[in-house]
Amino acid sequence: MTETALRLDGLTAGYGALTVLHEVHAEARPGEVTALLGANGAGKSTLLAVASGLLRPSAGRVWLHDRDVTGLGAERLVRRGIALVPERRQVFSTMSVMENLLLGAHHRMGRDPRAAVRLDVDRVLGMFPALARRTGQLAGSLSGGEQQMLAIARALMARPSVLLLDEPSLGLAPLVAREIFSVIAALPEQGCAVLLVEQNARAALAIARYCYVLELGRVAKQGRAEELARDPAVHAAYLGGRKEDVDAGGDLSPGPDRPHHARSA
Amino acid sequence: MTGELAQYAVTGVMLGSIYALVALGFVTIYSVTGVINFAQGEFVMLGAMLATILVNDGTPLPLAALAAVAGAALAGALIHEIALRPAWRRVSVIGMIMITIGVSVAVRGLALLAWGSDPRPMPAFTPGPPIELLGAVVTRQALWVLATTAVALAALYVFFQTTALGRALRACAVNPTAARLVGISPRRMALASFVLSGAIGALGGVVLAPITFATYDMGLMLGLKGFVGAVLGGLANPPGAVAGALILGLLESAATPISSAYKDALAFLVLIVVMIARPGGLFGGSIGRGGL
Repeated sequence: MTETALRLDGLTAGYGALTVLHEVHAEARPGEVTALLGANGAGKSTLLAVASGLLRPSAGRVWLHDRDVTGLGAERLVRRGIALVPERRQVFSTMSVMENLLLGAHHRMGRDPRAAVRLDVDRVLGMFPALARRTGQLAGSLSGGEQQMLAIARALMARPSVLLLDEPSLGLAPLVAREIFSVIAALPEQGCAVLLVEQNARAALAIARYCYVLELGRVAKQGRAEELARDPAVHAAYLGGRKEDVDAGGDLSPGPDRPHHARSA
Repeated sequence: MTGELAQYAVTGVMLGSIYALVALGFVTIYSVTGVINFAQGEFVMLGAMLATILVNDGTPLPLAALAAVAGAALAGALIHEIALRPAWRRVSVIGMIMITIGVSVAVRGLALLAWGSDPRPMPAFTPGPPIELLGAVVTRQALWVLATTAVALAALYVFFQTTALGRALRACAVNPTAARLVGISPRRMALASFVLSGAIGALGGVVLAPITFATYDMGLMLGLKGFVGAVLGGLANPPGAVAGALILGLLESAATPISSAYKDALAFLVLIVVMIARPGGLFGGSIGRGGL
């Protein structure tokens, strides 16, 4: 497929006087997971903040299905089809799982029939059986992994064409992270474009088709995921040095987070 | 003796009911926007004044009450759009609170210009002699106050728990960023919270008018009392605010035989003590948004 769902074109963005992103170009295509790797502070979350409308870029454009959506706020972009699963889940903690899911479909209220929303609730609960047993429970009382599932499920309730995921495995036990990654890997089957920011480079590369590596707010490398996984520099920086680990594939044990860890290893 | 106690209790609960409606207005706006709206009392004044004027002009009471509540809701919308909306993002929360104080002075001034300083009487909803209840003598209007507050609280509960707008308002109070990510506009929710608070406050004013008469400056003290009630409850906790307001009403009622002149001072004494001893309110928790 050559069509792009999301295209970031020369994005420069930051906070006040601090510029975090410098003229970044990136794309996410429908039916694929696109991974975005980089050390802490490389600008991955800032990029997602711009793409989701939480942060206005100081230069550059955001294109959604070849429409310019630059500068639209998050509350309007979600209506156009971009949904962000933010870092640290950000569920509505004092509200029930079901209420969180219904809020995910908030912008569809009054537009889509209730039955369609109900069907989607069943669909996303089918993807996360652990949540299906807890629909009445307060979101804040769920485990970290369940909250992450809820955050993804809530975003899917918006029926996005572009799903942005910020560090979905952060702080989760490997087994739980594995379950979440298997769901993320299946998302593109429905035509959704997934842009995945992840510290666990190994897990991200295992499910991604294409990958960007950000360093100090610029795209340092990009390419097909399996090629980048073999790239010695990427290997040394994000995958912990030993090539055999990559070839073994699919190992979700958390790799070293930062480049300097890798170098000292 | 028990009759006397019952009398104080009934008076206290009635006072507390009005404070509760004002307190809920504070809690609604604070939870959604983080701003303490010191113009809250003016909504009560507007409700009382509009209803009184309309009833005295011959409008049937239900229609007058409805128009007064709608008028105050509209005033809430105008206050938000004219005074607060342009300031979002440019002004700190403290600045926003200062703006609401300015708004309350302005509304009071306009009310003085428009309607003068004489108290305006309003007939009781159902005329008739007081009713004896548990040994206490209760005016029929006091019962109207209690019943109206009870119905309003139940309606608010249903609104916040079951409607899409109520759920969106709560979501915005719990996590404004996450709310934006699901398509809820914080500005619209801020507007909705001002409309809702205007309506709640005005409802209190309508039922209170036959008891205290409507005056242009009645909102000042009622607003402050409602604020004390809301702070007692923790500021972002609706049931806590209602409980805090009722406690304040009962305290005031109990203090009246000792010295009615210091009744008002009591509320502020309570506020100071609570702020020092339990800044998160009587019912635990910390000061912060996240309620509704």
